Amino acid sequence: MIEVDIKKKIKKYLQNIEDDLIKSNTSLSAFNLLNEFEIIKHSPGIEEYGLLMAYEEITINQSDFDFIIFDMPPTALTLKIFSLPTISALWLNKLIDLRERIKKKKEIVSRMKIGNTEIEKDKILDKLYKQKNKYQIIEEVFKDKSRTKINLVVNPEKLSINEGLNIIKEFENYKISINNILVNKSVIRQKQLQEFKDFTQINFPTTKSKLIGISSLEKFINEMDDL
Amino acid sequence: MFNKIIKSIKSKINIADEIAKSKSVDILESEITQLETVFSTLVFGNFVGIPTTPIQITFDLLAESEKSIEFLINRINTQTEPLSELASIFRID
Repeated sequence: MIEVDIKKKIKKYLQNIEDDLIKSNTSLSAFNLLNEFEIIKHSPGIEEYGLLMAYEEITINQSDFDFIIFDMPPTALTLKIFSLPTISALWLNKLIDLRERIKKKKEIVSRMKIGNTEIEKDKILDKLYKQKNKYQIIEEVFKDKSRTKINLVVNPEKLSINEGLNIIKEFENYKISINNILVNKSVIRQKQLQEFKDFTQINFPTTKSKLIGISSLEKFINEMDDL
Repeated sequence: MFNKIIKSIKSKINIADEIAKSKSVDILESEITQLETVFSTLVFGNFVGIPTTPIQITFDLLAESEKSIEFLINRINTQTEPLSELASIFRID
C-alpha cells in the first residue's frame, strides 16, 4: 500500500523544471521556482497534475502486479485528474497546430531569403509532441474498459446518489465509463438503487468491526456471502 | 541594340521580382510575429492573469521558452502603435 505524498511530488516536479532551466542555460533559471514553492503548490492545476504524475509513476514502477487499485475520493479533484489528460491533449493539439503553422511560414521565409528550407529545430514543438504523446497514453488507459475499471462508491442516501449521478455524467463527457456501483453502508437485503439500474450494483453492509488487514477483509467477505 | 533592350527588361524584371519577394517576406514575417504573439500569450498568459493552458504545459515549456518570453516583452513596446507597425510592413511613408 502506498500513500501519495502530494507535496513531495510537486516539489520533485518543480526541481525537475529548475534542473531543465539550468541545463538549458537560460536567464529564466533565475526564477528559483523552489524558493516560491509555498505559492506555486497552490497554483490552479498543480495538485491534480502532481497526482497524475504519481499515478504514472506507480503504474510504471508496479507494472509486475496483476491489478493496481487506486482509492480516490469521489470529489472534484478526482474528476479533474481523470479529465486532465483529455483537456491537456486538447490544448496541446491547438498549440501544436499553431507551432506547425509558424514553422511552415519560417520555412517559406528561409527559402525566399536564402533558398534554404532547413530551419533551426523547434525545441518547443518537440516538447509539445512529447507531452501530447504522454497524455495520449494515459487517456487511452483511462478510456480502455479492459485496462481500467472504475467503481463508484455511493451511500444509499439522496445527496450521495445525486453526487454519483453527476460524476457519471461528467465521466461521460470525457468518454470514460463507470463499471460498478458499490453501495456502501447498505442495509441487509438492500434493494437495487433505481438511479443506477444500468450498472452492476454491489452492496456493502455496515460492519461493526474495523476492516483493516487481509484477515478482517476475508471475514467480512465470508459474512457477506452468508447473507 | 536589341540585346541591350532585352538585358534592360530582364534586369527590370529581376528588380521587380526582388521587390515583390522582399514585400512578401515582410508580410510573412509579420504573420509569424502575430502567430508567435498568439502562441506566447496562450502559453504565458497565466503570468499576467489571462486564463490559458493548464499550468503544467507552461512549466514544461519553460526551459525552451526564453525567446518566447523575450518576444512577449518586446511586443509590449509596439503594442500601443499597431498602425505604425502596419505602415512599416506595407512600407507606407
